[in-house]
Amino acid sequence: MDAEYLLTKFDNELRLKVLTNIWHGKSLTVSTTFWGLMVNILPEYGLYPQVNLAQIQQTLKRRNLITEQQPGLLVLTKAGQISKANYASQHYLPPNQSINLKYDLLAFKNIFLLANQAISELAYHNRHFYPYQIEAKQQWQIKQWLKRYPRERLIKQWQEALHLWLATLPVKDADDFVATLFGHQIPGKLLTDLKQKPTWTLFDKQQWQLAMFADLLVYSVNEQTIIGQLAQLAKRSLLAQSAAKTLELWQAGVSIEAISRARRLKITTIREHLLQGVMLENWAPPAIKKLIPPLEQVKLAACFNKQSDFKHWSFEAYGSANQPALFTYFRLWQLCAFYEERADDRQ
Amino acid sequence: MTDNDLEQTLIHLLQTNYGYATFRKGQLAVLKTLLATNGQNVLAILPTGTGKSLLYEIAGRYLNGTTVIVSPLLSLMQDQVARLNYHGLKQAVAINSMMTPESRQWVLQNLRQYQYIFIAPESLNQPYILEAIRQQCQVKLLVIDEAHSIVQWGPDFRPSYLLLGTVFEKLNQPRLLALTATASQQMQPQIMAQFKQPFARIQASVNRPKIHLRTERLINEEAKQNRLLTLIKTLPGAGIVYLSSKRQANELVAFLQKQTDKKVAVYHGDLANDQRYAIQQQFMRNQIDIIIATSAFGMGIDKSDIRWIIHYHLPSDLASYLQEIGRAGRDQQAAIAILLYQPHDEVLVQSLINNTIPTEAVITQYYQGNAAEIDHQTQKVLSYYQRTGQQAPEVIDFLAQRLKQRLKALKTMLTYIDLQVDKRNFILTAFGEARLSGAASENWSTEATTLDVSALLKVKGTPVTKRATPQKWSQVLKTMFNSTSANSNQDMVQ
Repeated sequence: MDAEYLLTKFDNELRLKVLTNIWHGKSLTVSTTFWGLMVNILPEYGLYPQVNLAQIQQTLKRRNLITEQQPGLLVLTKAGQISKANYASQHYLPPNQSINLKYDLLAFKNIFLLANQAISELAYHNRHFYPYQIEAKQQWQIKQWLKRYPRERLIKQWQEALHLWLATLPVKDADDFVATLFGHQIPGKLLTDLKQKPTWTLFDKQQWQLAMFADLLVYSVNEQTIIGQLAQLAKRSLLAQSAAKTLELWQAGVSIEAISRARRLKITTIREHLLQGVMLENWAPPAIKKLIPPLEQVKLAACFNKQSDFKHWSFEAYGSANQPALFTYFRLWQLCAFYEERADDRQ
Repeated sequence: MTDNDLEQTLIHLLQTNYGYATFRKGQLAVLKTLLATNGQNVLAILPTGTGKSLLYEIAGRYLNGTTVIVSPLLSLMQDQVARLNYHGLKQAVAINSMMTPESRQWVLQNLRQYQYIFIAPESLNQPYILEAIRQQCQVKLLVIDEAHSIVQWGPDFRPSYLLLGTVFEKLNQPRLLALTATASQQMQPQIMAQFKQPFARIQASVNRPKIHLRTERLINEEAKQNRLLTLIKTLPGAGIVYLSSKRQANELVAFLQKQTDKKVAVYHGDLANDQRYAIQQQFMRNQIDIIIATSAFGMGIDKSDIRWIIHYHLPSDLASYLQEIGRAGRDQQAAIAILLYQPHDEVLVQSLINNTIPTEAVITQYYQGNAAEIDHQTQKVLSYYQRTGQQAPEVIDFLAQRLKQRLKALKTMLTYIDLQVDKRNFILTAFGEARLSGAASENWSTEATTLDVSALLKVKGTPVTKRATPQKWSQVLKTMFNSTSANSNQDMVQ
């Protein structure tokens, strides 16, 4: 990873622990999910498992581009702000990859590459090839998946699905993407050999390639192509099973208290499950507000509706530390503001 | 089964599955010794390029149970699984620390469907993994690939290698095949001692007579880099340049791409999986001339026509050096191995050795229970010694000896570079082999003579394919899926 890429993740400030947990794909706490969502890094969940963030942090500190305001809380320096702008103008910045929250993007990339290679070899009736090596479970799943289709239909539909998607891309992107694929007697071009923008580094090219896979994934799932069917092998839920069960009960109309009794879990745990569900499943504000009692909504509106910077609202203006229920309502109100703002941005 | 029946069966397996009429030197002897009714454990020391992996492939086919192969590197395991798949052995899997927990769990639940299990020693020492293998598989053969790793890495880097004897017992002592190209006379008893069992030792010479051995001493880094550039422009065919640092490998590839028209690619452990695969495939198909690599490259590579190897950095010992130059000339044709040296190259290796082996102070600190400030790797090594009941003074003494041995091995490497006479015999002697005489002892040179590439490489390297011109994506798709104009995408998609 280019160290400067980290600068692009700063809005005002950045919590290193949140970034580490998200990029390395560690299990998500409510707090990590919340802050990851606020600074828009949640979609990058697990995309950079090997990145040494401590080293990158040291590099940027040494170059006086960031500084540590409190332990673990980083802010950009003036030089950092300039560097961030320069980086953004010269390098590739991937679009929002929120599909990665529902499908494991890196897994999809590997699954697609192996399936594509196998289908290409199949088209030449060749069983004698060095298969691309991926996780054994995925390899086995692909094998089972391929067996479901008659040979000719598989090859035809796969090629057609790929063609349909490629036709939606700028020609240069389509040419470059296809050049990197491997198949029968085709070893695939290296990313370093692609003639892209001269300022792009290998990391930029990797980011570009991953964004292409994200685009292919979204297209294939939406259009329900054969590639979209294969993509189901990479489907995932970041919501823990226990939280998902709570969510299911809530959506069936069971009250928080009743869920707590039925599942023999503390009310605070149930609230955390719901909060996590709201964030990972992108609830709309009206649905979120159903979790907040009407009286509390009035109080929250009185406290915060005149303050636009919801990331920096202070809980103390509304409740105190010994009132965990109020803190949940506060977070939910923040999330309403966040999703409303995001909806406004899209319009 | 008689000796003759066994031999015929093995030849039949070779012919039907691999298309070869006869075994290479040493292969049949290893297989017969291992697989005979009263078969023995075998330590096979066969030079690089003799087809060691074919041994466990055929043994596995013959025994018809599970073959567990202990393998040192993730990239090597992946290459080996791909190679078995290529040979039609689809029931092969690699278990290693880089797997996701979910995938690992799935593999462990489904072990019985695999005939070949590649595994790192650290994973094999995990009780739950070993238990899963014991419960689900009938292990007929345990293979220790690159068995010199037991001695080279076990004592101060990967202590799990020193626990393989226990694993062997827990697997009910199946047949055991330890494979290496470069185990010296001193290493061999140390390898066998791990398993407390008698071994048949089948050894062929480490000598690769058709590889020209050359060392060149340069005055400084700049001279070394210039010499490298000249060599790269001169040497024909495919080649590998070995470096010990990923950062420098990246820098060197950028330099060479600017300075030559050769197609150069960098290969090391930080590469993404798909890029690693593409580089290997391009190299195999002669679409890359030169690989700039750390030692992660090449252990599983089966490209027969690599014509030359250059070492830009100093290997830490002769065994590693032979291992790496052994990638050249596997087609039994002439090849060249050149080691470039500048004064003080050894400083980097020395410091790596010193940093790897815990000092007396660190060992004492660990045994006193103050492990917090000790790095994870050192803790892992010392924890092994503590768990096996060894006291601090013993460990201090043992690791001090170990440090001396490794520094001595480095010194031997330096002596080899300085040597102006009889280089080939120097290597053979170091591996306990008899000296050669006459022409057999030659085919080496130093900076004192000019390198005559055309005389040495009478068989030219395979000409590298010209870079393909960029194609439109729709054309590539047609080629990729073998579609004729009658059913082209243009016809399909409206």
